[in-house]
Amino acid sequence: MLNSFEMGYGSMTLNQNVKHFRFKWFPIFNYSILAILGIITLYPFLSVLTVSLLPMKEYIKGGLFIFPRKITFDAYAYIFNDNSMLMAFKSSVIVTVLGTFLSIALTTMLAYVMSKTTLKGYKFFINYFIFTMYFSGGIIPYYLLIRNLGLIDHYWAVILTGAASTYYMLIMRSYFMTIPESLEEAATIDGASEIYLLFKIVLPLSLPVMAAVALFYAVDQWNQFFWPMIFFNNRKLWTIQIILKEMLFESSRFMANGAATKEQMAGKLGPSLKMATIVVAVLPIAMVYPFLQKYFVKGIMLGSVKA
Amino acid sequence: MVRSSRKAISVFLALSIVFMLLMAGCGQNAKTDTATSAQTQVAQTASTSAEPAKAEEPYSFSIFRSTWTDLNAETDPVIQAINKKLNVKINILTSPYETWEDKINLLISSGDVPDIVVHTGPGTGNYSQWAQDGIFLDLTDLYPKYTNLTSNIPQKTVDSLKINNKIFFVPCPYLVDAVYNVRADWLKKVGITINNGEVTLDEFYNILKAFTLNDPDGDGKNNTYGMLGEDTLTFLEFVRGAFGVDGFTDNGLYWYKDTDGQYKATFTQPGWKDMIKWVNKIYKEKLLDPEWMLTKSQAIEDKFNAGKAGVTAGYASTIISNENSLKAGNPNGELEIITKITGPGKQTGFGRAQQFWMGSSISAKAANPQKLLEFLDYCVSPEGKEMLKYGIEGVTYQKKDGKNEIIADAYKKYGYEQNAGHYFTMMLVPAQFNLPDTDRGNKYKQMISWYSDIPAYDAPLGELPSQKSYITAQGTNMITKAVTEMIIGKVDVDTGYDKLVQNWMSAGGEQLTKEVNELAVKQGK
Repeated sequence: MLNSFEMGYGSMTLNQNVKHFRFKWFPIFNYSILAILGIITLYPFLSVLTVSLLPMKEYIKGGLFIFPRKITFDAYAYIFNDNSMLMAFKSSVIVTVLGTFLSIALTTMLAYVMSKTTLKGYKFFINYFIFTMYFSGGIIPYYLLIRNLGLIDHYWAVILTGAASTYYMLIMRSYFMTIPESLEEAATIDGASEIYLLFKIVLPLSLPVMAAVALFYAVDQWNQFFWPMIFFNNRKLWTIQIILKEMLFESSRFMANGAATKEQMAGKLGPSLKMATIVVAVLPIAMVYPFLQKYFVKGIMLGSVKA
Repeated sequence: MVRSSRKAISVFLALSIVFMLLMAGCGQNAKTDTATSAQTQVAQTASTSAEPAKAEEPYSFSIFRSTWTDLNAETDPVIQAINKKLNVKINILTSPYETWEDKINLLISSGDVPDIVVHTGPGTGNYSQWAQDGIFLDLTDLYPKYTNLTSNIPQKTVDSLKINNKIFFVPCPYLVDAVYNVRADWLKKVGITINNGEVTLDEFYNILKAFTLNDPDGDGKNNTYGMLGEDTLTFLEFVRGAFGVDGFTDNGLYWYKDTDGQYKATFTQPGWKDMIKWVNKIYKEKLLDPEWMLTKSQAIEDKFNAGKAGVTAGYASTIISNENSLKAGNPNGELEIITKITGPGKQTGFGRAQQFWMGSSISAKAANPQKLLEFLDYCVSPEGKEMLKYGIEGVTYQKKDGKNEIIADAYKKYGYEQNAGHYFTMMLVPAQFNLPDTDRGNKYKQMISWYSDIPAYDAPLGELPSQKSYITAQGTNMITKAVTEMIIGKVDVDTGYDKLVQNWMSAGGEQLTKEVNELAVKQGK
């Protein structure tokens, strides 16, 4: 029988049930549409992963690729034994790591300065930087610039290309502007220098935005294709994106004359080699996200200044 | 005070923006200014390293081409040997195969012309413009002096590529080796034999029919087709020949000389209509993969290797590797080739062919063009050919019983190709070079030897004045699309074909025809 609790709230539960009945459709629609979108987004990745693990015979059978029926690591073994892949990997990692560090350093410092709106000449500089978001010199002048600096066939040509983005600088600047002035004034009163302010006060509070921007930069540097293609004449320096494009789009049929030893091997491995290359090109960047996750979540200012 | 200075500043900014726009608009001139200053820089560095007075200094030059091997100029034994032999220093500028045109466009526009540029000749968008602008060196006087080049490259090929009667391009003679790959195991199963790769159109039709209806893969299911095709219509090469027409990429920009001496578009040749009708017939009877118009070239390989059809377009020089790919999924798979389809009017083969695949141009700013031609000449000399095919004795190959046996590990290490050797062989050696020296390889060489009699494509070269607007107007797909619709039966062939010619004419075809004939007169063709 009903206990006292249910007696007291019994009627309310009934009402709630009625309410619930009317509104149940929305969650159903919501969840199903989101689920479909999720599946549509996820399926290509799953398919790529699956095909990369399938031996050639299984792939030929066709059908839906969700879960590998038989697993083989041949494609991955080939990749990691292949010199050009490893070199490309090394290239990409160097460009990304160095590039991200440099970018964060430059962007943070500039954003911090730009967040001080009372500086003399502030308007001029902020407009100067925003101008570069809309206009740029063009491909040929940029090539000539890098060429004349003697940076062809150096990693710096590509690192500098992605080094500073006005857009991300503005993001950081907005974030810095939300840090209350009173915080910095308090520190200044206690005798902090500008450098101390930046490194010991503002930056620790800005970890979320720094993590986000670092991630954006890392992805941009990792994905660079056009400029590495132009600036790297030596095949040893090519990044993994170039190698990936080569693998995926080279039409072995129309390459004419003589199958390379590579082609013969690749022929045996077929599409699984291409898929494995995709996985190798995407996975490292995707793996960085979980590590930066905690910085996104943390970083709400914990009562630093009592107003 | 503040207001007037603010006004002055805004006026100044407005003027500077206008000034910058003007500069950008006159960009051509500005570009050439920077280009010439950059060029003098490049020429200076080249000449300081050449220094013909001091004969001992090796001549350092750069070669640009796309590559798909791990070639490394510093460690490659063949390149080291060439460096020593010719007293040069080769520097390779590479680019991935898919995007090499972007890179060379950028390099040339910014004035950094590599000493030797390997490109596809007329197929490279700006080639004729560059030749006429003086970016490439005119080789008409120098070329005949190099006997290895002149004896190895058919003169008709070189002549067909002249611009304004001058040589700007040393082609890599490529005996076209397109064939049809046929499943030999299926032929055995359905009991048909092919006589030395030659069939008549009717015999070909019977083969396709047998492949579709007689269960050649023996699995008891009706799941095979005669032939595979792809959306760009390139698989119709041999069928075209059987009807006596050629057609390349059918974008309305290729020309043939009609009996009245005028150049007309290739797809207006008589015989095209009959060809389309024939393809429509085999499509209706399901002898052609019904999904052909949705298939891209990558997918064709997969389909063929999966055993979906018995005939597909291929190349004689890659047949061994194609067979290996096939065997990966079908251990009993074997390949044979068809090299000639003779049509009802006894026409056969290809109409005309390009007869080359890539080639070299020399920069007009090169410090020592004679040396560069010497290098190219060496690559086709008997000694050079041998070295480029096999490498260095003891390092990449060894002699066994009088035959050269390649060392597979060394080949892999240096990025050589199994049957083609060093990647420089792409430069100046015929494709037949690349078939292996085995009984089977020699048989195929003999089967495709008649290809050397195919006339070269010798229509006037160069971009026509209204070409760009024509391309944007109908997006080079008009003809392919119309032919596709006729083949799948969406449009009746007779009416559809006439309508296509009409549409093409009004979409700019008439103007193009006029221009190409004017160009022909100018170029003396």
